[in-house]
Amino acid sequence: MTVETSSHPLLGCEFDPYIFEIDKSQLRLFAKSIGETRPIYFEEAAAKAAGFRSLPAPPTFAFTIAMNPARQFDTLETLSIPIDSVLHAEQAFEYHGLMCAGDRIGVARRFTTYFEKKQGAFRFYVIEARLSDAETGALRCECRQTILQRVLQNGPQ
Amino acid sequence: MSEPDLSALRPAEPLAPSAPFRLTPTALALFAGGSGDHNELHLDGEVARAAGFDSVIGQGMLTMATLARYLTSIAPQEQVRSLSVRFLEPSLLGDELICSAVVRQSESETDTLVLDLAVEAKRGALLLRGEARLSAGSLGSRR
Repeated sequence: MTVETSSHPLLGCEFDPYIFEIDKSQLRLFAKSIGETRPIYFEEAAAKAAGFRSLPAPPTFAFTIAMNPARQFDTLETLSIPIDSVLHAEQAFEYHGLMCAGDRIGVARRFTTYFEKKQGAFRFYVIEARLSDAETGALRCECRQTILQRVLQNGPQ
Repeated sequence: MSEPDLSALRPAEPLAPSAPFRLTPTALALFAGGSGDHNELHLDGEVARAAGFDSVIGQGMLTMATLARYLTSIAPQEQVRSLSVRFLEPSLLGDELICSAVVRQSESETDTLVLDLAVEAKRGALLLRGEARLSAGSLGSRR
């Protein structure tokens, strides 16, 4: 498949920034929901005994941090993408430091790349998020999400 | 689970696959709560059918989280420098996810191991492919 179009009127836009407070209870629920059983992800004493400052956020919890808790689908809303037309095409994380319960994470998100395939039936949007320590500004994680919007070409299904 | 000696791994060497993780309706609902992703495509059959699926589909990020859990059984979490995946097809209710890894590259000068990753459903579907970079030098202190 070749790329047909790579321009979009909102390309480069930034989404509302926010601070995400990593909460112990949410980390435990997240860990339970992914089948995690190791004590460092549930018990603060076990995490501290292993040298962590508190419960560590599992690697893909970064995606949860990169979702605005106040308006969960604000990126889709801003880009006028109906939620029932999207699939998650790709996801990437680069880690620069661990994130743990009690951390306050500043989140900056931007719409960085757009392209179409299949005569515009598939629209791809890339949203990059930078997760930084809200106190020190130190970068903790870079997230890159590729969203696929399936566009019906010939009226409703 | 004990962690293998990363320095002993060589290119093309497959690692032991994960135990299966089953996508029950409860698992999808728990993950919606745990992850904060409340997209009804994963929870409500009517919404899923309206979107063209036979039933609810699993969250892609649950498949990726399962893969990350496997990865942190291979190496401590602070050694995971990057993780990226391409979702190939949706997971389905009842799927049993199995994660696997093969060593692509071992860079002794940077103490970095590059793994090719996959998650398959036991019914014979390849759900995602990915890669991870593990560093023997950690991201720094756990503190």
